[in-house]
Order: sequence, then structure tokens, then C-alpha cells
Amino acid sequence: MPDRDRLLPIGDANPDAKLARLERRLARERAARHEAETISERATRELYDKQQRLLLLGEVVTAANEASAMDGALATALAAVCHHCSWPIGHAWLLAPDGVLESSGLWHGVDERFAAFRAATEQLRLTPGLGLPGRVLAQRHAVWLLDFARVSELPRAQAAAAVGLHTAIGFPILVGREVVGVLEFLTERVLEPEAELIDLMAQVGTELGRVVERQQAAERLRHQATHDALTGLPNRVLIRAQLQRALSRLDRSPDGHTAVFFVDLDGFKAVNDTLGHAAGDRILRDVATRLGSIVRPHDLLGRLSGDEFLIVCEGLTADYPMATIAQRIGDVLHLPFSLDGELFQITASIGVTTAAPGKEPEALIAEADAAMYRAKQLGRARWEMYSEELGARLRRRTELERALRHAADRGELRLHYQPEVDLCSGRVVGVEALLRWQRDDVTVMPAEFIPLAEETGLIVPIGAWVLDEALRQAQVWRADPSIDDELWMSVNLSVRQLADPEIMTRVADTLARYDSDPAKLLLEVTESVILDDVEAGLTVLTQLKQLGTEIAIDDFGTGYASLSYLRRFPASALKIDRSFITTLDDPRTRAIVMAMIELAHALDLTPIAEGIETAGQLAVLRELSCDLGQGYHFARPQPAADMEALLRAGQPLSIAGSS
Amino acid sequence: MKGIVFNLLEEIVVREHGEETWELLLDRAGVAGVYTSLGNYPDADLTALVGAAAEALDLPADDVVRWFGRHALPLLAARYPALFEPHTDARSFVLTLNEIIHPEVRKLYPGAETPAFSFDASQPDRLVMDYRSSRRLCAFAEGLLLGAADHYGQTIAIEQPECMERGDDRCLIAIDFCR
Repeated sequence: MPDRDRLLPIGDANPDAKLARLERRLARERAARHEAETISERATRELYDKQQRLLLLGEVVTAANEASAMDGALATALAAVCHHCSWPIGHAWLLAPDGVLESSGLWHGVDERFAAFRAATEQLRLTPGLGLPGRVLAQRHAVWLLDFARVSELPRAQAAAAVGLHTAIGFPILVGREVVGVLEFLTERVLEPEAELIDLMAQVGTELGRVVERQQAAERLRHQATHDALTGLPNRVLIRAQLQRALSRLDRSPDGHTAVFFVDLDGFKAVNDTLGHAAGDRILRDVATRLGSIVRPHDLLGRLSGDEFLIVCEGLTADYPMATIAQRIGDVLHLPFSLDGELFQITASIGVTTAAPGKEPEALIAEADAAMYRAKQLGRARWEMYSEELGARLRRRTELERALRHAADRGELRLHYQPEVDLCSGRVVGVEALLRWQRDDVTVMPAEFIPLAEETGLIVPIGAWVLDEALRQAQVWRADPSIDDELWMSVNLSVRQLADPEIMTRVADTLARYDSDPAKLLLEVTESVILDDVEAGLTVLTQLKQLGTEIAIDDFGTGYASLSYLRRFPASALKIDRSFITTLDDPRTRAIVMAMIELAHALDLTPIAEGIETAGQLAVLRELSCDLGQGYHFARPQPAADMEALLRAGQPLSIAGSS
Repeated sequence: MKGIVFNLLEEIVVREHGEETWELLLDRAGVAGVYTSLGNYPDADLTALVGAAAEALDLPADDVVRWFGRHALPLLAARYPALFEPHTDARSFVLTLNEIIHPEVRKLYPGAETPAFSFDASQPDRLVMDYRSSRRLCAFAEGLLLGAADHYGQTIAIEQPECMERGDDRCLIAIDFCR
């Protein structure tokens, strides 16, 4: 091809020159190949690094998502960074509550060669700015230290030099803007800072921060579950758990006493009722603060419920006796509370008990509670020590309560009946049903168990049984032709029963069940019914009255009801308390009884005297024109069968007086 | 076997003995001879090339491999200076094999089967390496070690108390660093 020949330089035919040219070309090709390989290698390497970083981040993210505790996530992160970034040693610092960095004790790759360095590290507490971690803490971003063994002001410079560590990087675990921990990595190599690596570390730190954040959220939840929202104090759940721990410590080291203080504010309910709940809450918070100010930091202070606080002090000796603490509790609460510029005085009743090995937390709390109850009984604003005697009383009470709970089911409850007598004619006009508890061979009197029944609420089912049994008995007597069918039945209703939302339906149902005339049912209620909540009390009584039943004011003269309420009390009878009758000899008592009878008549109420025991008392009452009466003088309360005999006889009872 | 090994061998043979010799070795070994550092090629190619060289030079194959290793090291040092620079002696360089050098190799050549060494570095002037590889290239390791000593201007003596070629289940390479 001539054209091609023309392009060839002169002398081209020289084979040596041709060879030389081919060799140059070969060298060029080889160089081009090397360059291509180098470019490709660089790309491969970068890709690899990127993949490694993604893998690393992936591992950390997974660990962070799965971690229930910080330790697991930290350990994974340390291992992952060491592995993917070829840093042999990793270690985590965590921020202590006082704002100082402490070793978490979590390391990666620290073998026995580095034991001394590890020891030197773990004994450090780093304030902001101190050492590599301290600098990270202060600057809130990664710090890279080259040849840090030579930076003499670093706390671990010597220890690092001794084991040949040269380069260190530290970066923060961040929650928002807050550093909560620092991860550090160390190597024997001398490495220049790498922007990409620092960037990667920042992401690792953020991921780990999420674990802390989640942990903090969980901690908040846990705190909410174990603390009282109002005062921030441990609640009953935590109190019980911590008391349990205190008790197990007692087993190990029996030095000193562990005392439990049960603190109950006196009359707090009145504060709540008169000043409102907001005021009550402020006082409770104030109480919590005050109690916190007198206990030692390691003492347990918690709020059991309402106005009940519990304090547990361990290691008490003669130098710091229980009496001193109890006194201090009383004193600190006795100081006036200020509410909107007004001062209020509050007192506390305190029960104290000492822990003994093997005791249950609840039992201890119950003991302290019993002692507190005793302090209340003895006049409030004082403290009482739990005693075995108190315990025995408590146990009797508990045992009584348990027995009472089943008394009705076991048929141990009985009704005795006492006639109510017309003081003019001596005729029996009504019968009062009185509750008795037949426990085995012993008859328990109402005074012994009614207060307990009231307190525990057992009075509601027991009261229901009483009403049912009384009306059943009334039906039996009504059906008996030899018994006056005009007799009424008196049944006592307690405050607690009246507060029972079921009371209306219960009374109506029971009346219907025995086909009873409501007018032949006299419900006896004490003045205290309207003492607690006037309107509610009067409402229920008015409804009962509308149902057709009769209402009697029981134990009149012993309560403190204002006479103005008497006007609104829908009663038809007024029972003069026995305490006035037994002292009728006293002219002043007689004057009072006279006034009561006149008052009753003026208000169109039938006066009924209770507890007439002598003919003399009867004579006086007749003289004072008291309409009705009851008492041993006529008949003791007696079982239905005996009562029935008396009623059948139909004889007027003796009303002969001897005044 | 990674293409880089063939490239190094080619480079050394061409430099020491000329292009013709490399062509001759390729012919005698009966291999294609197309190798790029990015590729992966049969181990048998290297064995065949080494065998051809041994025959041509009338030397034991191990000696050829050792010679190759010793001359390959400076080329590696030129290509990857970062791996060599932090060190001032062969011992500390060799000790970074597992942690740094082989990880770097794996970065460049994903899937590279690098041998794992375990070191006994308890004596300051002696280093004992435990080499286990199906390739049985302990002689290449020896050559590289000699090359490393050359690189840092040191003299070493190598012995192999155990060798897979002699029926042991591992090779034990003992290096004495002369002062």
C-alpha cells in the first residue's frame, strides 16, 4: 500500500529501529496497564472502605436497636470499630452523675500487655478538658491525638509510653447536645487524622446516643412506676423492694438497728376538705421536702399513700437513736406551713418499729402502722414505739376481722330483741333488733366488733343481714295471731351503710321480700350521719322517709349536731341516750332530759328513753311526759324465742314507778 | 493466585534476564501469560513458571521461589510505601502482617486468601513464624523476609525446623536478626 509507505519515516526499513519502536510501545502498554491497575485498585480500595464503614455502622445500628442495656451496645461498637478500622484497642467512658467521666470497664483488644495502661485508665475520673476523653467532653466532638505519649500533661502519657501506644482518637456519645460518654481507640501506630474516619465516628456516637436516650426513657418509665408523682418519693412498690434489701443486709451485718418510721399527718383530710386538694398537694410536697431534709442521704424516705410517709434508717446506734429521729420528724412537721401567705399548723402521728432478720417488709410496715395508730389513739402529735403487746392487739384485731368476715356465712350472727314500751300504758309498741355475735360459746357484744366492722366496711354486708333477719322475724310475728300486729321493728343503720349507694334498693327490696309495711320499720341513725356530710346524709334520710319508713335519731345528745339540722332531719322519733337516763338523779341532767323531751314534742318527734334500769328512772320519765322507753327495767335484749313468749303474753309491762 | 504475583515475577525476570527469557518461560510453562494485577489465576500457572525457570537455571524450585520473593519485596515497597514507612526494622514490619498488611491486601483484592501467621516474638532477636498454607510457599515467605531485611539494611538468618514439604503439618520459620 503506497499510501501507507509514504507515512513511514525514512530508514523505517531498518529492523533495529523497528524493534526499538516496538519495545517502546510495549513499555508504554505496560505502563498504561499499571496505571489502569492502579486506578482500579484505588477505586476498589475506596469501595472496600465504604463498605466496611457501612458494615460498621450497620453493626452499631443493629446493636443499638437491639440493646436493652448500654453495655451490650458499647461492647459491640468497640469490637466493630476495632475490627473495621484496624484500631487494636477500644475503651468506653461513661459520664457519672456528677459530670465526670469514669471508665465503663468495657474494653476491646486490651490483652495482658496493656494491663498497666488499663489499670491507669480505670482509676481516672476525668473532668471536662482533662485528658483525651475530658477534651472530647468539653469540645463535644472527636479529638485525634498524635503521639500522645509525648504530651506530658495527659494523665496517661506515661502509661501509654510504657506500652508503646502512639495514636488515640476519642469521640463523644451524644444525646442531643449532651455528651453522655466517650469512646476512645488507641494504636501503637502513628496515624494521621482521617476526616472520613472522624465523620464515621460521629455517626457511631450518635447511634450509641440513641441507646442512652431509649434507656433514659425506660428509666423514666421505671421511675414513674416506682415513684410517687406528687412528691417524687419512692412509692409503696419501691419502698417494699428497698425495705426487703435492707432486711437482707440485716442478715449479713447485724451492726446497729434498722428502724421503720410510719408518719401520718393528723387531720390532713380536713385540710383537703377545707382548703382544697391543690392546697393539700402543696402541703404533701412540703412535707416530703421537710422529711427529706432531716433524713440521712442513704435513708429511705417514701410515700405510702395519701398522707402516709415511711422512713427507713439503717445502722442506728446509741449515738443516733430512734427517739431522736422520731422527735425530729415530729418537730420538722410541727413548723407552720405557709399557703398563700397564710400559716397552717400540722402535726403528725408517728409509729416506730425495729427490723429483725427474717421479717417481711409488709409485716414491718404493718407494725409501724399499728404503732402510729396507737399514737393517734393516745392523742396524736406524738410517736409511739411498736411493742409485742401492740402486736398482740393488732393480731387479735386482724384475727377478729377475719372471723367477722365469715361470721354471717357461718351463721354466727344473731339478733336479740328488746321491747320498746309505751310509758303510759306499759304496752309493748315496738321491738329493737340488736346484733350479737355468737363465736363458739362466747357472745361478742356489738361494742367489741361494730367499730371494727365500721372501719373495714364489713358493716355494709352485716347491716344488710340484720335488716333482712329483723324483717323476716317481724313477718313471723305479724303472722302470729296472738301477737299485736301493730308492733314496729327498730333497726340500726350506720353512717357507712347510709353512704352505701345500694342502701335505697336494699331497704326497698327487703321490705318487699317480707311484705312489710314500711311504716312499721323504724330506722335508727345517729347524729353523726349528718356530721360528715350534711347534705348527703339528709338526702338519703329524706329518700328513706319517702319510701315510707320511720326514722329515729339514736343516742341523741351525745353528738354535736347543730340544732338547726334537727329541723331538717326527717325523723319521727328521738332516742335519748342512756347516759342521761343513768344520771337522772342529778337535777341538771333531769333539766336537760326535760328540755330534750320538750324539744321532741315541739318538733313533733316521739321521745324514747334508752337504758331505763330502775323504777325510779321510769317514774321520773313518766313525770317528764316521755312517751316511750326501753331498758333492763322492762326486759333485757333476748333471743327471738324468749321475745316471742313475752309478746304473746300480751300483758302490759309494769309501769309502776316509785319516785 | 493473584495476578500481582505474576506481574512481579514478570517484572523481575524481564529486568534480570530480558524480555526474551520471560517469553521463553511462558512458552516452556505452557501458560497463556495474560496477567493483570486485578485478576485471579490458577496456582498451577505459578508452579509451571517456577518449574520452567528451575529447569532452565538448573536450580531447585524452592531456590527460584526464594530468589523471586527476595526480589519482589523492593517492588512491593515501591508500590505500597505506606506499609513500610512506619517501620525502622524488618522485625516490626513483619509483625504487622496479620493486622495491617494482609487486611490491606484483602481491601485491594476482595476474596484474597492470605495466609495466617502466628508469631512467637518472645525473644528480642528471634522471631518464629508459624505458616500454614495449602500453597506451601514457605520459600516465597523466606524470600520476602530476606527482602525485608535488605530493605531495612539488616542481616538475618532463616531456618525451618518444621516444613510441610518435609511432611510436617506446618512450616515453622525461625528468623534470627543479627546485630
